[in-house]
Amino acid sequence: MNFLRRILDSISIPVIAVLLGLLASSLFVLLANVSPIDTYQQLFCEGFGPRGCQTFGDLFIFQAPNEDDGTTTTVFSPLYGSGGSRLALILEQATPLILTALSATVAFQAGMFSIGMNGQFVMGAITVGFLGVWLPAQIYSLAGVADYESAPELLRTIMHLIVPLICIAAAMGVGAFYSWIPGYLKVRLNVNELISTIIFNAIAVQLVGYLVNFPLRSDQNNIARTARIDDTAWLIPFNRTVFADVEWFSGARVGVGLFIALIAAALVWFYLKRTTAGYEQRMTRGSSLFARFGGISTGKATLRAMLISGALSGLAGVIAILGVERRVVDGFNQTQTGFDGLLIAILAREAILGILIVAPIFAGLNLGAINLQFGDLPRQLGGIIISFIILFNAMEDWLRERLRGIFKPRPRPEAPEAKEVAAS
Amino acid sequence: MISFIETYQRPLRIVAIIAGVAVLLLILFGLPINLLQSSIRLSTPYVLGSLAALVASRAGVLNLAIDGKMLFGAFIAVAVLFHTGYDPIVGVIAATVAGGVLGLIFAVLYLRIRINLVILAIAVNLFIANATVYFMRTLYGAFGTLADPSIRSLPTIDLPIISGIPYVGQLLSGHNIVVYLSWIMVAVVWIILFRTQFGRHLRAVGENKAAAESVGINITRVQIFALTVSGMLAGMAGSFLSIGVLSQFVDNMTDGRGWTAITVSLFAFEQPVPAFFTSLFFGLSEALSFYLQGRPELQLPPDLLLALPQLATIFALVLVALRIRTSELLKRRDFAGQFGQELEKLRQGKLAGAGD
Repeated sequence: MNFLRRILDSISIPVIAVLLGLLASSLFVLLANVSPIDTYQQLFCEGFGPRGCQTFGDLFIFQAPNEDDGTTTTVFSPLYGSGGSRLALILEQATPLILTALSATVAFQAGMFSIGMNGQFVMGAITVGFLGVWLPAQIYSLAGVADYESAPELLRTIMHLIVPLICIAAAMGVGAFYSWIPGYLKVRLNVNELISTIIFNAIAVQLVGYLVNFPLRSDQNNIARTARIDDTAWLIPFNRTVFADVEWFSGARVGVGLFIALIAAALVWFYLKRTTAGYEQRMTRGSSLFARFGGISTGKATLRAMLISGALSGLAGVIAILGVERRVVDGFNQTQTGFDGLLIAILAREAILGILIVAPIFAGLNLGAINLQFGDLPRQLGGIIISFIILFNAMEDWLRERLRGIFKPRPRPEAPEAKEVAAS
Repeated sequence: MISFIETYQRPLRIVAIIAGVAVLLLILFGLPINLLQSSIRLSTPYVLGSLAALVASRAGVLNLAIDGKMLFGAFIAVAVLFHTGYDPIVGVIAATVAGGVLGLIFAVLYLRIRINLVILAIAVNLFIANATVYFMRTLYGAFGTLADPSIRSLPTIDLPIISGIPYVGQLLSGHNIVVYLSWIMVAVVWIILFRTQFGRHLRAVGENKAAAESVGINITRVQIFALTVSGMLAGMAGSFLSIGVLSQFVDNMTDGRGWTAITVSLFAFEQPVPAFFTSLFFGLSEALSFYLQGRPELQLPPDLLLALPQLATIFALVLVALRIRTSELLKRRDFAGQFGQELEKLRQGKLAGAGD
């Protein structure tokens, strides 16, 4: 019972925040002369529902049409996967988000309010965008074969194992380095990390834009893009390999990356909660002076956190390119994966389990908002909803006070000490 | 490092001054005059933005939502002109008021409801960035840019006497009203901060909240006022972006200028007049970026040129930090020296400060 109460207590405010956020955003929908209920129905159906979903009810129980004879069968929506399930698509979108959110969490928990996830993400992405093409080409020329098709089976297998690993390591290194710079500036010179990381983000985006447009540009496509990564570097999605016949996965490029993200989540949890290093960095945030008195090198702990944070963001870039896009396109980060990760970390209150729950919801909301664009409303409605949710979520103390006013406080049990004092 | 600075303090200072003067002369006479004129013009959002940042941080609130407030001002200026078709100056006033209102809301959310400052700033920036695009599309049906014949840009004003002077006239005259307003604002903010009672209260709150409260200053009122003024200045900066340079609103048109403005205020040690001169250098870096983009014969990649102001910002940040660090170290050394003297006196049997 106590356990249930604790869960209810920790969930109540986020749920209220979401409801209030939707309510507040509905004012904006009304201003555009559109019915909020229809809009939200569309938003959630496009985001979370099965194909052909129309109402809120369809999110759970759906009358699936039978194409052969025109009849319908009643199905449980999340498992219904004709033409590919949206939930698989959500998982695909959520994978990099989980990693960037973890990255934000690690930085926050060292007291660094770093927003550099976006810059580290694009730097990691461009690294594998380059290595995924260049490295296999080097190996082929060393082995004396023309390309993937003509390579012997053994070489292919070895490369399938090695190339992605090298790519991942390189991108994590680049991300870590890009995050180390603001960390070092903070530790040594006390440069405000918020401002420096924002500027580093802008620089990274311009740099990647330059690299994609000039040195790494592969063809005269309208939108500049790099060459497609070699098949051996590809983290092949499920729908091409093990689950090729499962319709639930069709159309979604979710793959090994999801496992990598989950393992990373577990490792980050272990690091933060169960290791000395994690304790040191949490102490640094909690009370820097106390930590230093206890013999903790706070600068080192902060730098370690920034390195891990950058590596995680770089890893997110790897998943986005090796697992999903397979090439870097100019402006590919319009959706701001890194910044979304930061928002997820704030919404999840830096809890690892919370991130795993919030990230798919966030991804679904993004998907729904993008599809909203084909209707009357721009996709920015999603951003408005999210900013309201963040605001209400951050009002926790104030909301709790209001709640206490609404629901009368339960009579407090008398303090046992007082009784004893009275008896004696 | 500290001993090095200690020994060569005077030569170092002279070298720094000579280098500064050389750079200034180089800039003034080596660069084309239209580039300098546009860099003075483009520094306006930095001047106003850094004033906004320093008013807030002098009152003890790190205002990180300046970017959002600027964007809001830019949007409101264009939206008001689109609806009414009045003189552009109305747009400037509307943007200033709108920025002030947003600043007030920000202050109430922070001080009354006690939302974490950084999270609040992130939420406000995110909200404004999305809401402006949302309204641009739903109310005006515009994609990406909102432009209309009814939205005119601010007219340029020729200053009566100065425009007659050959070189200076070209530099200082022929800007629009917000540019001149920003110069006036530098003086106004300086006077408010350092020559009025309210300014003293404001600085007291920023420096030591508990001490200020103990002498009866209403901290909340001071901070609310500072954030409102900060919002007004940021809104005015935004109106310059949308109807001063262009006559349209572009999706996310502040492009991080609010963040740079915060850096400017840090660089200037939160002093209005140095902030003005620092802004000029950022204006120059931006003007240079546009100027070089306008000459394809130089074969410079545009993306890297766009990063020029950002690189300047990072450079400035590091410089600021070094300056603060050195002054801290010097202060600490002075303190240690003083402390040593007092200790010596104590050893000799005298009471510290008891007189000789």
